[in-house]
Amino acid sequence: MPVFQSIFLQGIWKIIYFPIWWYTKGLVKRIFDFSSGVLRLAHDLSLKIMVTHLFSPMFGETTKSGRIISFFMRIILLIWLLFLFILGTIGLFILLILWIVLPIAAVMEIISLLSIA
Amino acid sequence: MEFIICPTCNGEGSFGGKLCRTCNGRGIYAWSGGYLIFSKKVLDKEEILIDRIRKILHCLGRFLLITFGVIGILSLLKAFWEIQRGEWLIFAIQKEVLFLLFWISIITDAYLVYSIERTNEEKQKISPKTKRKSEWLPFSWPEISALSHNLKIEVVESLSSEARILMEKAWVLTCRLGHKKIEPIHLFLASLQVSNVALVINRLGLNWDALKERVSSVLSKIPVDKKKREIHYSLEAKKVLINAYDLAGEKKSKSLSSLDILESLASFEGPIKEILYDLEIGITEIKNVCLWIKIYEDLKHEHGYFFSQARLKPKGSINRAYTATATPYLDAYGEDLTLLARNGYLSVCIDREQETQGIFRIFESGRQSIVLVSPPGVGKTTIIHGIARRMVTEDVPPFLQDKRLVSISIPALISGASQPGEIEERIQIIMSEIARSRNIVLFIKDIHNMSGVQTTKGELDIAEILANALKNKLFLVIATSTPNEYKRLIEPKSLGQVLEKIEVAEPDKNTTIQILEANMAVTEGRERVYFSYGALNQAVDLSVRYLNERYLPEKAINLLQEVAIFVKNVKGERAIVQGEDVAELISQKTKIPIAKITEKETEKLLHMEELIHKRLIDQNEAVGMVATALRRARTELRSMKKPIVNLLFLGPTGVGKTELAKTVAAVYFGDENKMVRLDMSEYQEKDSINRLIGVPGGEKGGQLTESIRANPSAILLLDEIEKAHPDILNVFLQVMDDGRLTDALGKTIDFTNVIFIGTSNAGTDFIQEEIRKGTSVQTIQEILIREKLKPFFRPEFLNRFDGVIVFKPLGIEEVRQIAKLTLNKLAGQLEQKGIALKVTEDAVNELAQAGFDPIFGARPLQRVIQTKVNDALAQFLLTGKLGRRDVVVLDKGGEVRVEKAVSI
Repeated sequence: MPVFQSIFLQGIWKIIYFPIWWYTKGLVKRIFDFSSGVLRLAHDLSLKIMVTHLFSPMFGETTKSGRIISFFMRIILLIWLLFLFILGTIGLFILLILWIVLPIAAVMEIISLLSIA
Repeated sequence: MEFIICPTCNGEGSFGGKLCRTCNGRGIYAWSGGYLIFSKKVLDKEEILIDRIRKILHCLGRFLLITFGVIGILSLLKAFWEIQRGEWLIFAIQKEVLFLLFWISIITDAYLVYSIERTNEEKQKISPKTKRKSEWLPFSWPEISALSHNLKIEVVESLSSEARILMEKAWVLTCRLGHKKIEPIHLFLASLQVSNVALVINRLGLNWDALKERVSSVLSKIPVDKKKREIHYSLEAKKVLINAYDLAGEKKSKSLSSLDILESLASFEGPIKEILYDLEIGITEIKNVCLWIKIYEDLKHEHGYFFSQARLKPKGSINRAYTATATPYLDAYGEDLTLLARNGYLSVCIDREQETQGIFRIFESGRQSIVLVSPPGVGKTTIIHGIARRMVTEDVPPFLQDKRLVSISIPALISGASQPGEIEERIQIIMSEIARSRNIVLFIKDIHNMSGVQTTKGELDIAEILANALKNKLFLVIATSTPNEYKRLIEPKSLGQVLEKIEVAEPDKNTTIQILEANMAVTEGRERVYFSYGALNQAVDLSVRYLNERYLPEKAINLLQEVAIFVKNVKGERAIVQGEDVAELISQKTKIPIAKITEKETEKLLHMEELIHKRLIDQNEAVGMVATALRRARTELRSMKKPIVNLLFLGPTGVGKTELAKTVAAVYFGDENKMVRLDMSEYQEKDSINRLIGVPGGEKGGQLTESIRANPSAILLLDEIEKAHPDILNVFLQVMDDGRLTDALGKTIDFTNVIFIGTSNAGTDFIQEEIRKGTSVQTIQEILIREKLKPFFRPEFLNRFDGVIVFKPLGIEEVRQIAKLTLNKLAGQLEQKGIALKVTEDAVNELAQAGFDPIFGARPLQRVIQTKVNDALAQFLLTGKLGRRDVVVLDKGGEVRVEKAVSI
């Protein structure tokens, strides 16, 4: 019997600890995931490289006109990449918000649906 | 590891049949990583039951949560589908149920995420703690008893799931056998039942039956106690577990694994160490095989990481910053190594961090060109491949990031160039493409090949063109070369001034084994055989010993690849490649007997003297010395850095010096012709050294070096050694001392598998005189070495011989026996023609008398037999008087008659 008792108590504790973990350790982890996700996104989109090379001529075109065209091309490229970056960041932020909101929303919805019934 | 043992129970955990109150059953502690480690908790019936129920509930829970998650999604889809169709107004209640299911599934999905993450957190929690830094680590029992509970760690809490199963099995085993305590042997037997340890045992090439038999024998000696009692760990078992925890901590493992327990079991003195030692396994072998398994796991992780990063590397010649230009010429004559690496075609580089960091450091210091110098096969190209892989994942210093590593092919560059100035033009265009693009690191394999290649106009070396380009420091270059070629073709020229040299050393044995462990996975997969650790070990040892002209790790890798095919053909697929297989292949390749000694060979070695005496009469001392040397050599109880034995045979002509050498070649090496024989009277001039080891700057090696290269396992017989020029004898000093000789081409020839025999007639008169006087051979030998040989040989030369053997002049009795032997040989030749030869005792005596000469030994006898017997027989054969089945009788008075066979 002590075997079952121990397993049962462990199970109960696991369930009680679920919401606590979700809004403490779990939330800290998601915030960390969000920040590392944003950095990774910036790395994958080569944002740093594009900014540091903003005034470098593209494709070795070192002539004056080449440099001017390169600069404007890079600006356009950078805008496009920034757009993708912001889009990605918003996506990641939504995931973070969902982590916070979704369980509360689910509980509230369940209560309201049950009260209707 | 220092253990702190409870003074009351002496580490047993119980005292007077009751739990020890001093240590509370813990018995012993040890410090590890700043914490006190102990082992008390036994995974008994109750724990096993809890584990099993927990596992079932865990699986069931996961299944239900996933199923509910799917139901939730389906409910949502169904609800929306019905909303779209406008049916939900009619079935309003159904809609609410669907949404309720969906929202509940959100909670269960969240719980699933929580459950998975908690499992991972728990895995992290069990990782052995090692980080606490404390200067005060007390070792007395009262002091440690007073320490906080937080500093004391129970080993069992850190077990991996597999190690937990191991411990449970050990408890079950102890119960089943009726033993009182869990001993290390129980842990060992239990460990054999878990997959990772079984893998180690298989990799070690151990015989399971032999292993289990020995374990059973040890278990049978433990007293059985049928009374039902609580089972504890023995003191030794506790030590093993605590030590295993420490090992896991040292390795920074996530948990204490079954392999840590195995390693710990093998490192303690006791029956397990004895068993493994008996099966030729030591702690080094176990550690290396455990490391092998870890290398495989690390490679798997590295593979995943590499491909996740490789997707970001551009596929073409343009870099991520768009600053590069197109390089059509370079692309035509070169090969993009980063692209090859990106697509997974280049192998991983193991244990070359030092060289790689050296390259980065030189580039960082401002030098732009590097040449890696090492003999072929040491791993220069692998280092370059490693850098290409790092450039793909961008794990390189900033100046190498977002760049390509392109290898240029010199043959492709010069092939087809027929127009004047075409090669210069190609090189110039390529250089300017690289300089303009600014994202290329150029790799030139075997850069020395560039030297001596003339431009089509013929006035310029292409190495000079490259050197000029490199002086401008417009791009980075990594090149490779071999030491000799670098010294000859690079260093004295302008390329030598611009290239910074990095020497790449041959890896040591342990590093080579690790390289082999990482490389053999591909061969195992391709050939469908498995390598034992012994095979890897032997491949390194034997390739070092017998394949002197090539280098590690390549020679060992090539050897193992060949052995894999050899074993697959002989034993079939799924066979295990053992150390003996490697030895057998090396034996076949080098013709040196190195495989395990067979029963037949043992017999031959033990009766070597008798076998030699079948061909050689008397000279017992010489025969004995040669036979013992061969036995020492075959059982590997000799110095492996010298020839098998260095012997000097002294004595008059015709006493059997050369015959003994021939006999040894026939008996030991299986062929009388496995002998390199040099007549040293032909080497009296100083210049003749060129004939011996080759002409400097020439293309061929010398007579001696080439013969030994072709026949590394043979007898080296130097006839009349006293006649050689003293400088030539100096050459042999090195052979006798180091077992190697470098020829004029710079190749090192191995002499460690030759029997070095010098023969000399020096001091013959003295020997004959003293023998006549009846002086003992021992005294003659001493006087010879001390005085008589001095005018011929320098003392250091004589000192190098393992034995100076005096051959006695032959007496009439010996000559009689030689006559018998010679006639027996002749009888053998006649037997092949279907003719029998009968020789009477009187005839033998007559021939011996006629052929006996105290000065010329057995040589006159050969001449007598030739004229009196062979000539007569030849006459009979030619005139047809002698045919098949006839009998030739050699009788008194030199009479040779034929007894005709009865006609059929």
